[in-house]
Amino acid sequence: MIDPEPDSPEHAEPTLPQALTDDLATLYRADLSVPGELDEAVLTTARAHFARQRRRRLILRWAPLAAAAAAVILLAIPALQSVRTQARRAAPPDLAVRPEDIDRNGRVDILDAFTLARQLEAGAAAEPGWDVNYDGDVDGADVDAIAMLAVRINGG
Amino acid sequence: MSVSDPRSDQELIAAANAGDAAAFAAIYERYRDWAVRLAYRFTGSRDDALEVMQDAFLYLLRKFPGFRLSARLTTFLYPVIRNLALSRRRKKAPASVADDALLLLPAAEPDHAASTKADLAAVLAVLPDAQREVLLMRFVDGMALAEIAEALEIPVGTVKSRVHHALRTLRDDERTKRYFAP
Repeated sequence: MIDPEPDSPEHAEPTLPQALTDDLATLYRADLSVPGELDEAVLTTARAHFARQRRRRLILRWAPLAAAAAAVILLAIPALQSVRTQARRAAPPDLAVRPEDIDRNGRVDILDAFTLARQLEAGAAAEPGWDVNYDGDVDGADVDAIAMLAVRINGG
Repeated sequence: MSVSDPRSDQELIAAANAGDAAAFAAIYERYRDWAVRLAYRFTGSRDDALEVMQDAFLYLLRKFPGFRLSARLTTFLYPVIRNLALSRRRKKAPASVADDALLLLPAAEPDHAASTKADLAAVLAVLPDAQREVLLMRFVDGMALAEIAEALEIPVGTVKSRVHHALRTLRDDERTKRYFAP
């Protein structure tokens, strides 16, 4: 349909005689009652919808914090491992000073037993600390004692 | 169902956007009966009208959160109900109903003893669908011309023109001209 000219009578605000308005209302405004079950179905769906929205909002609110916490943990694990490694490298003084650590590498292992055995075979002068079983002599018994200790330390 | 909520539509929509289910219930309560009557106009079946009304409110529900109302809620709901009703009619009787044919049925059978209303119903029945639709939107639903234009996505001038032609038919027809007698 073509728009009428702006100044045509069609642009006047339409009015209706009251009797005609009333009869139109009577014809078209019948009371179509809505069953209570239908109301309940719509409103139950609405409640579920808004409950889902609330949950989603909660998740969105806490997700950045959870992600930040996870990131901190992920970043902290390698850092802690690094610190532990550095600490292990830099400070095994309790093992370093042990008399069983014949080669002074900070660990007591089977190589200390071999080192002592080779020293004894070569007739090298024994150091007082090598008497690890405290029997007054530095000999094969000390080699065995170191070997036993190395196995216990490294092998569990 | 709660008692009538005093909040405006905009306030209820803002509350529903914030997650208030009771606000949506108040909107439903406010427009439910109008929606059923409107759906009945297009479907001619009480059961279909109830289902269309339900679908329309579920459609509205899915708009939350984030629903923004730029006009009256009736302006938003009218095309939703109209399209749902026509779609339902098309599914039920695809061969006999043209895509854009509007039933726009009266909700009450006119009492033939009251011949005035019967005559009115008869004259309305022969009005073109487009004219009858805007006439009912304006004088039964109480929608402003601008709201009708927005709901139907047509210029306001077209709405005025259709109303004008509908009224002229009513005024000129022997069966209804008595309404306009001084």
